[in-house]
Amino acid sequence: MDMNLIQIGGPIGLGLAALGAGLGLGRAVGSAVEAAGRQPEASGKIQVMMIIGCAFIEALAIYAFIVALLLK
Amino acid sequence: MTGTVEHSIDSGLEHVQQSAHDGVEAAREVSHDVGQAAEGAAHEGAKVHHGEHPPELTNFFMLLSTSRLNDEQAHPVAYKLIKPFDNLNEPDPMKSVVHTANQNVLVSMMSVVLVIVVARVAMSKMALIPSRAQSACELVIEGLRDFFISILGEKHGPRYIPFLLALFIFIWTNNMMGMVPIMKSPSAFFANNIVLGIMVFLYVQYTGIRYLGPKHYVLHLLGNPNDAVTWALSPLMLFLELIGELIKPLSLSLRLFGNIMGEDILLGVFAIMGLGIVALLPMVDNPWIGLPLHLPFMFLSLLLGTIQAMIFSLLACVYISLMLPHDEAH
Repeated sequence: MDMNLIQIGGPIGLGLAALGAGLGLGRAVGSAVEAAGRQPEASGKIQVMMIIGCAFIEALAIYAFIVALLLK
Repeated sequence: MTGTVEHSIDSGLEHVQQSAHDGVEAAREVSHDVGQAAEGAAHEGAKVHHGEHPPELTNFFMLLSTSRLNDEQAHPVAYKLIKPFDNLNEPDPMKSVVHTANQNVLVSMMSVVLVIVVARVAMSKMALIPSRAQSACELVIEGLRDFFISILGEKHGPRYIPFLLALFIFIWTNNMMGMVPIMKSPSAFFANNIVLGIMVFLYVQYTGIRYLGPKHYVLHLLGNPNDAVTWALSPLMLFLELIGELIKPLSLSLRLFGNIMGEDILLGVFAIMGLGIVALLPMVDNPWIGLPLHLPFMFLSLLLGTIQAMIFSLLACVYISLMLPHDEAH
């Protein structure tokens, strides 16, 4: 096999990063939905904060994606 | 004897049919591969370049560089005009980066001109009872202004609003350029984003030095030491704060770049898949139009483009507000 190590390690790293991002996003969205259930009139603000928090968490998985893509 | 002749003719026919069937199968395989590679200029198809360029939807520059005007002998003048924007026929990948830079700078300039034209036309007759275009522009500007002022505070906020608004509108128009059929989004090019990140970094540091004064700025970097323990820890704090300040533009630009480039690649891969599915049909050998499998990702890309522009300017706002002193109540 003439693959170099990055072609095996890149997707594995990306999978691990996606796993972490999935766990974090699940927690974030779960608590946002729960807060909206407690106080439905604040759901607009809660939605905005949830979107912003999700973008932060998603960015970490995207760093791994960029590394796997640019170093292959 | 006729029986054997018939039998041999039948078996020969069977052989011919079998080989014809094999040939059709092989042709279908080849056309499947061709459909997968999509080398033809498809109407809503995607292109895979030679080399390791990731797939993306066809844009104006690809069409230009594969057109018949890109021939040095046949059309020398047009070739000279097209060559700076051509990154398909360039064998040296380093030069291809420069040519891609020309494409992205051109589309960035187009988006700036578009924003200026829209603003001028909407604000040309400013009235107290606004027209539709003016109220749309005012909606965007006032909504963002309130959002940023709520983070920066009423007293010092308004002087940073033009920078943040310009950042948001520029990045949003850049991202939306990728949705227009034959355009590309300049945010998918790393040099575009790292420059924006460096600009935000320099502006935040300049704000800190100008607002806090040089002495308090250095004290802020040392972690505001006020007794012996914190003075002893201050080299460590300096190290951490420097790393934290330097990582901010990198993370900002990488977040934007990764999101937008990932969306482009997603659209390209699903468009290729749609072409591949059409190539599986029996009569088709080089599909020009495929199934629009990338339709849900168009909506996702619209949403993500807006969100990423919002995140970039919001984070710039938060970094500025971290530099300002915290002794103001919100």
